[in-house]
Amino acid sequence: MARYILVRLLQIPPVLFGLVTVIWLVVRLAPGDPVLALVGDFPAPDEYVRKVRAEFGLDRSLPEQYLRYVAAVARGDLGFSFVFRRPVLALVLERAGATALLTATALAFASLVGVALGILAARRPFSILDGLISGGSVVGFSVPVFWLGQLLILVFAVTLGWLPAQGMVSLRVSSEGWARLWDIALHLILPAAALALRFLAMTARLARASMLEVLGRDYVRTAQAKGASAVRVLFAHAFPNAALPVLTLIGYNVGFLLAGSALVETVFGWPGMGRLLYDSVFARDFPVLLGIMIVVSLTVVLANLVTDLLYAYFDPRIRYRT
Amino acid sequence: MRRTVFALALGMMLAALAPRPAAAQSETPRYGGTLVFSIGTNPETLNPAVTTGVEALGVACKMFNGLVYLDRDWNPQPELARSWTVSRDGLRIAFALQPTVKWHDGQPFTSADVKFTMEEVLAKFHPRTRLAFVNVEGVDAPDPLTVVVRFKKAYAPFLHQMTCQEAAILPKHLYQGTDILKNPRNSDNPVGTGPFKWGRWVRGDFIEMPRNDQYFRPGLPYLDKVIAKITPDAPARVLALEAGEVDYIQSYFLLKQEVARLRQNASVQVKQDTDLPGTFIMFFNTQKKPLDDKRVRQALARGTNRPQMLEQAVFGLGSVAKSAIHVALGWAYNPAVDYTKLYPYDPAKANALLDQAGLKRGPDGTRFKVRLVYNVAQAGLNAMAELARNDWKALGVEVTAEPVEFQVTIDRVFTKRDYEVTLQPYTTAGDPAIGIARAYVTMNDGRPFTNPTGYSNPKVDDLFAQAATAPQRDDRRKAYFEVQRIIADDLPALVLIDRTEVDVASAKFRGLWQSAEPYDLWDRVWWTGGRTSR
Repeated sequence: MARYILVRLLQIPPVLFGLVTVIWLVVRLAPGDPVLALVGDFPAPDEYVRKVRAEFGLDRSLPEQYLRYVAAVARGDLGFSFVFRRPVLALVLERAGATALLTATALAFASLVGVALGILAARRPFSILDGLISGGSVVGFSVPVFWLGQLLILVFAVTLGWLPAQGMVSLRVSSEGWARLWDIALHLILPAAALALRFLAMTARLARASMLEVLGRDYVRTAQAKGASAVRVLFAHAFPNAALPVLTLIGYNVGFLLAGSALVETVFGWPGMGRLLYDSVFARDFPVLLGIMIVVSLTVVLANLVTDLLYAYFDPRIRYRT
Repeated sequence: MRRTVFALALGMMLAALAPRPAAAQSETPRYGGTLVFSIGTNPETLNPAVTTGVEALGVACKMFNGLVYLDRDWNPQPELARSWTVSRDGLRIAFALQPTVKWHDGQPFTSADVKFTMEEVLAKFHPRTRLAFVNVEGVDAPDPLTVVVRFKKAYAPFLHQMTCQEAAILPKHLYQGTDILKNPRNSDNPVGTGPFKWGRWVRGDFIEMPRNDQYFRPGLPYLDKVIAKITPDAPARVLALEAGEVDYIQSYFLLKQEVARLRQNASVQVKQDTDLPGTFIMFFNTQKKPLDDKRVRQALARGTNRPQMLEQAVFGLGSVAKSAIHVALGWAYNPAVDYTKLYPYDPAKANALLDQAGLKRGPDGTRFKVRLVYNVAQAGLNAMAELARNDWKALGVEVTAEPVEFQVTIDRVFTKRDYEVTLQPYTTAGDPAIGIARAYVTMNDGRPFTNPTGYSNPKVDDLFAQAATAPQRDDRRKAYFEVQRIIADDLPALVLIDRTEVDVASAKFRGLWQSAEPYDLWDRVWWTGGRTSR
């Protein structure tokens, strides 16, 4: 197992290097000039544009810019934001916590509820309950997240007035300690629900399919024949095997949740990285854009690593093959 | 007689549209309360003297001041300058400063701050005002409360540009000797002279600015605190206003299709004509055939149903444009030029003009093809492009709409001029010399937001230059009247719509919209739920 982990860890640096290169190329070869975005919607004097360009090293050749960037990233320096004129790492880190809270909550909610619904549906396939869950998950999977977000705000914040519409904390009253945590929790409900729905639907469908497959296997029939209770058959015999594909999906979802959080953060004014990413695309703020991509890529790579390790832990066949 | 009746009717219309401050005046202002206003994203800087960013100025102009502010009629009024005198030849403006102003850190505000800001910051780094300082010979500070600006040649809009939006004054003691663009005060703990001061910034979430107790206008501001709430999603911004989480949305951030609905909401006040007006302009690339022929451009103007665009693309918030100069810039607009009469929607006449220009229809009925390039993210342009495409089909002009991202628009339209027709929103900035001349004067270096058409008319260049440097408004007016006449005929660009700006706010606040600037003057804003004394 230790060797497996080591091999997987050693794979990370080349993967990251490849990612940095590809992202850098895509970002830099897209049309658009960060300096023109920066100087605003009025004719800027040439001298001023030249000065800003030189200040950010954009007057150097592209290969030189690339080499300098890779060297800096290797030193842990993600550069300096053109727009905010602050170090990128600080910008990203101060926003990463909010994104982590939002995506982790959504992932936990989507995984737990999704698996539960999947099992419920698989217990009696083609029953009314199964129809409702399967049908609902098709709808949940198809609803655009920004539309769902606005709908949730309209219903729960504007019409019913139960939950806050925007942000992470209340602005007019400041709270401390437990009251503050409660305040954040209330603000978290709608964005987490909006972000989770799609993944909940995916998880439910996969959990159902996976359970159905396992429930038809001989060893399950054997367990039933020897008189094990329905609950025991479901959870002790069937589920551990059915869980493997679901586990893969959950690890795989981390990247998509981070991507989805950009939209959800925008709709709910959630102070995370997603909106920062969105803005830096439009401002051609390359350092921030690259910085976020690197942090997100690293998270996804690590999430996949954890998934693989869990997979290897649950399924000995995988360990032996490496 | 007809003209008198028209003038009377116009006067009555204007009176009806004019701000109605009666409610605010009859009530006694109250103290306290927090006003939450919406902005789209984090401001890129908190230094208002180096940016034209809407978020940045919306926040920073609560904490900083200019020498003047513009009242509802766009006249400069005392802000950090108590008064000023302009010499007859326009070559010298002397400002007398308010004597009791202190920076938020307690240091006194003096003429040295103004001289430093003008010379070292505005003249070098302000994207727009930098151009005004090209005309300035020097800035003197003969005593702590006097600033004299000497000009090489008169520059008429200068005084109007000395607002917080265009020329905020920075503290010399914190900026001198530093890299202005990288000064840490640009992103944290800025020190200004304004009614509100620095509180805290939770990035991506909000910026809090408590009351400045040392503010130079005694007794003001009324509010205890203002908060800029970052609400990136435009529909969600309106929902937040309705849910009572946000109290004010400035026109730039307001989804205009919501205005009609918000007018029905008793807890919301809707205010039209709030800011310096803007336009939507259709530019023709005069370097491409057949658009190099002005008859073709005139035909396209006649073949464009602009009233329909006004209703469907901007929800009636504005008027069909009459000239290169926005009608709201009343002193400069030439009433003898009226595009609605010169180029009314008339497809038959447009077709006839195209026939005259020798553009015969091909077998499929098409005379020629154009690519219509515009910024996909700019509200209203998608609808305008679609309407133009339909309108011009009747003329035998096939339009390929090319909605592209903002950055790509700049590249295609201004840098490479790789387009035939483009739609662009331009602000007038309140003065033709600042906001309008740039769209028509000869410009060949591909700078964004100038004249992308290749149109070059020495007479037009000359008249715009004359109008910018004539010290007397009458002389300026003459030059602008003449230039509008020429542009109306050459038509390198057709102004489609004169926009009007609309802000919305919670009905619980009074005293908003004291200034014609988009960032207003919030020291006099008060909350109806406040205390009767401080």
